[in-house]
Amino acid sequence: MKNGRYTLFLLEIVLDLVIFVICAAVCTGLLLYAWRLSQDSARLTDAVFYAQTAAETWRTGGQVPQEQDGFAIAVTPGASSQAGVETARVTVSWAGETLYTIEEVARP
Amino acid sequence: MQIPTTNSRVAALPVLALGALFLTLAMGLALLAGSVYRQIVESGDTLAIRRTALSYLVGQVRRADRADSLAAGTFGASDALFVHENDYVTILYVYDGQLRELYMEEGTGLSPADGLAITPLESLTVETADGRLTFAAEDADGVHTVSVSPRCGVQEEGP
Repeated sequence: MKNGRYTLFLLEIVLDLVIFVICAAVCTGLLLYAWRLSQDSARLTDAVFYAQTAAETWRTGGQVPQEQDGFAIAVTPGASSQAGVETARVTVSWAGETLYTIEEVARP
Repeated sequence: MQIPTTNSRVAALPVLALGALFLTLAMGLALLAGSVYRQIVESGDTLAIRRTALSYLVGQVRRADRADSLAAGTFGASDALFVHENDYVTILYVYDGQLRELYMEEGTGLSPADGLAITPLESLTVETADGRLTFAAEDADGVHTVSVSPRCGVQEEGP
């Protein structure tokens, strides 16, 4: 009789544990998602500043680095206007994914 | 009085073991959540400081992009950006772990401690090259730079 009582209690504990593990898995997934969002935000901030620096460097005729701290920076020249104004497109990528783009930078 | 038998004690062991396992998992999850939350908050704070400092400096440059307005030099022990407007000057520099702004009449002779604190920053470097101003701001996450090219050029601030 007592063993039967322990068996029922054990069964209840096991069920509680299973439910807890399911909830813990969901919470862990949410925590990892939040952490990944934080990392993405930091990368986007860096990408914006790298793009701005690359655009300003290109405008003054300087040499734009193609890679910086793991970020790939690409300056794609566009068509020149009749007034002789050159344009370019600046793209900053991380691990092959484009993070930030400045559509048009102009210089006389 | 009933004395607990060996059989009942053995039967209680799995219950106690599962209870201990539950407690361990709960504590582990709480510690993990606290650690992740702390990392996210610290990262967010550092990012905000970096974004604020560099954006503020770039904004000041663009606002004051006029002839003979912008100059790079030193103020106190830190590199500084000088923005001249009529007979007044705005100096942006780092002092005592803070990015500070000092707005004063030219030649007043105020000290770096008189500036208004804007945001925490460990150090600031201002360099000029090829018509570009490059700001290097150091925070808890390292050194981060941004360049801006004022249309009206940058001068060197004299002593």
